[in-house]
Order: sequence, then structure tokens, then C-alpha cells
Amino acid sequence: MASADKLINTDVPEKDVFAFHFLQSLSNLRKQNPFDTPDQKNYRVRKIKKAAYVSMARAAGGSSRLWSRALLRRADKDDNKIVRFSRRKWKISSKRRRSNQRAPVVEEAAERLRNLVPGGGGMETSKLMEETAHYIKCLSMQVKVMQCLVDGLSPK
Amino acid sequence: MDPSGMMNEGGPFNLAEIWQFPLNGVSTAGDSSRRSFVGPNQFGDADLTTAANGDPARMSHALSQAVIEGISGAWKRREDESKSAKIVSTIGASEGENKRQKIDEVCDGKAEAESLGTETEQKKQQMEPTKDYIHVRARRGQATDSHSLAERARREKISERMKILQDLVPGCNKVIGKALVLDEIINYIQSLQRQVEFLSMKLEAVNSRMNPGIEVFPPKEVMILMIINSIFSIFFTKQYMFLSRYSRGRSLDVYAVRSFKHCNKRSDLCFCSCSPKTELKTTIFSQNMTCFCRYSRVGVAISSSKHCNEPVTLCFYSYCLRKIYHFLLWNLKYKIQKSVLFS
Repeated sequence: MASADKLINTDVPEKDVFAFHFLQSLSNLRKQNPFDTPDQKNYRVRKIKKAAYVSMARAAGGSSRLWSRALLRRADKDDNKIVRFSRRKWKISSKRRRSNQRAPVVEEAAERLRNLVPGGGGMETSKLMEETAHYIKCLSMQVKVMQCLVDGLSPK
Repeated sequence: MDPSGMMNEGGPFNLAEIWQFPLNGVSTAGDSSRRSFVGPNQFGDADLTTAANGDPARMSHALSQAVIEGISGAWKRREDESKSAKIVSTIGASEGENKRQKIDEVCDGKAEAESLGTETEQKKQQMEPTKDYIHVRARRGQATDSHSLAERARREKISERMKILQDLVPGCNKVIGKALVLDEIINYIQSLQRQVEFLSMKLEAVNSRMNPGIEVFPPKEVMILMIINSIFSIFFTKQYMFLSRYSRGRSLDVYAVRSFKHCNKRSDLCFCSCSPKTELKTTIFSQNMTCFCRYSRVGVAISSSKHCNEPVTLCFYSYCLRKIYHFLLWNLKYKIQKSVLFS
């Protein structure tokens, strides 16, 4: 009980790293799809969105964070690739969740947050808060990078 | 013959015959009477002898009995003595046992004393660690079992993380209540994700718009395109400079060049950084067209090779012209030599 809590590390790399990874993934997309047709607009939008999330996860540190690991694993599963990360099963049983006698409103909100953050299903509540903080920082940085790119490239 | 036979046979027979003969003597002649008188004499002698024998025998018996009795008495005494000795020995044994018990008790007492000493030492040892941490008494009604303490620690941890999240989300500090704070956080994350989707759609639109058209333009427009892309790279990253190569009129490839050494690997494109107030002029191929950027940290040299004949859209052309003045004047504060770019 006397032991102090360790410091919570939510440091995020700089904007340059996010931009580098995103542009690299975009260039890879262009190489993979040299012959574009206007009929596949939705397909291309989904490709760009996925590239944004994957590059964000890689910029955040790859497999050092739970949410980034979950995102990369999901992307690899979509591409039918071999999953390289160690498979840890930290699923919280429903009995344990029900045993937590807390307010129903807070519980519902925590459940929604768990569904929203990638890889949130297997975390306990305090870990979920920590991962959410890091995820929010990375996501806002990614949004800034994409906004800058769109503003720079779009004609007025 | 008969008396001789009688004598030969033995005493008891003799006695029996003697008793029969007197009866027969009385009934018979004087010989028989003499014989009967002789008989009683013998009998009398025998009686005497027997009596004498009996008396000493009796005496001997009595003596023996007396001796036996004496011996038995001695034995009895000895037995008594032995009994008393046994009693004494038993008493002694009991005394010994008592002593042993006493000794055992003494040992037990010593052991108890030692145990007491160890107990005191244990108490001292127990007293020592209490000095390490501060003892806080629980409040009235506050549970002190391990489960409650762990739950309380967990709740404190969660509240700390919640505070960090509140600091991250804009406009979330004023909200009071855990459920409302969580709702605000969820809404913020959802809005960020929607922004990512919207921006990806916009990027796709820009990409499709930047696709090549049918019209053909002279090579100087290609130069302008390269300049604009190099200017973009300045804003995105400080470590890596991104340059675009226009190839085959289908898509723009992005390459990263850090130093001059990498220029030799890409025959169509070259980039390097130089100090201010210096001119840069690079020649790669005989048919290259070069551009000068004075008083700037960026210089671009583009070759005019086969790629010059690829088509470029008119809309992109006008966009390039406008962006040149915007970026160069307001960001780099540099004047372009019109003779090179707009000749």
C-alpha cells in the first residue's frame, strides 16, 4: 500500500514522424494501384483510411502499445498475413465485470469506450484509461498531418 | 523254614505273619506258643527300635521342621527384609522417579524460560518493523479487509487516469461527474475518427483530380511541379526532404533524399541543401534544365529527359503558378529569377 504509483507515460512522437510514415504508406498505395479507375472511389477511400490508421500505429511505436498492436494485427488479418505478435489473452470475464458493483451509467460509458479504442476489450479499466489517453494524442496528431496535407495539395 | 522264609521275605511280611502266628500259636502247641512269645519279643524289639527310630525320626522331623521353620523364618525374615528392601528400593525408585520428575520439571521450567525469552525477542522483532511505515487508524465505518483496500486503491488509480484524460480532451475540465466525462471523451474520439475518414475522402478526391489528362505542356511546367512538391516537403518534415518524380503520366512517386550522396542513385532527380547566399547549379545530363534559387536553403535541379513529353493537366498548371508566389514570398522570402522560370 505504501508503494507509489509509477509515472504514466503518454509521450507521443513528433509530427514529422507521423507525416513520414503516412506519406510512405500513401506512396506504397500508389505503387500498388497504378491503374486507377473512377468506378472504385469507395475502395480507394477505404484504402487511404486504412493507410492512415496503420501509419499512425507504426509511428506511435509499433507493438509497444496495446492499441497500436491491435490495429496492426487487425490490418494484417485483413491482408491475410501471418500474425507476428505474441497472442496474449487478457479477456475480462463477464462474471468479474458483473461483480464490480458500480453505477450502471459509468459502466455503460466504460463499455462504449472499450469498444471504441482498438484492443480495448482485453484491458482493465485503469489500463483502458491510459491507452485511451495515448490513442487520443496520436489520433489528433494524425488528423493535423492529414489536414495539412489536404490544405497543401487542394487548389483554392 | 517258614520263619526263615518269613525273615527272608521282609519286615512288613514278617510283621503280618507275626500277627497271624500268635493267633495260630494260641490255637496250636507250645512250640507255637514259644514261637509266638519269641515273635512278640521281636515285635517288641522292633517296636522299640521302631519307637526309638520313630522318636528320633519324629525328633528329626521336628528338628527338621524346626530348622525348616527357622529357615523359613529366616527366609520369611529375609523375604521380609527383601520385601522391605524391595519396598525401600521401590521407595528409592519412586524417590528417583520423583527426582527425575523434578529434574524434568526443572528442565521444563528452563525450556519455558527460554521460550519466554524467544517470545520477548519475537515481540521485539515485531516491534521493529512497525517503525518503518506510519500506522494510520481506519475511520469509523471504513472497511479494512484486503479486498476493500485493493478496491479503494484501484478506484484511486482510475480517478488519476480520468484526470489525465480530462486534460487531453478540450472543454472537458468544466464537466462534473464521471459518466459525463466519459461521454465527452467518447464523443471526442468519435469526432477524431470521423475527421480521419473525411480527410481520407478529400485526399482521394485530390488524388483523382491530380490524375493526368490529355493535354500536353512544355517542360518548364514540369519544373514548376517539382519545385512545388519540394516546397511541400519542407513543411511536412525537417529531417527528410520529399521530392516527387513525374513518371509515365500516371502517378506521382514520392522519394526521400537526405544528403547529396543520394543524388547519384537517382538519375532523373537531384536535391541537396546549401548555405544561404550561395548559388546552386547542378548538371547531371547534357539535356538538363536547371533552375537557380538564390538566398535560400533549397535548390532543385531537374532533368529534361523523356518525361518532359508526358501530359499534365491545365488546372494543375494554373495551381502551380499561383502556389509558387504564395510559398516562396511568404515562407522562404525569396524572389525568383523570372528569366529562368518564365522564359
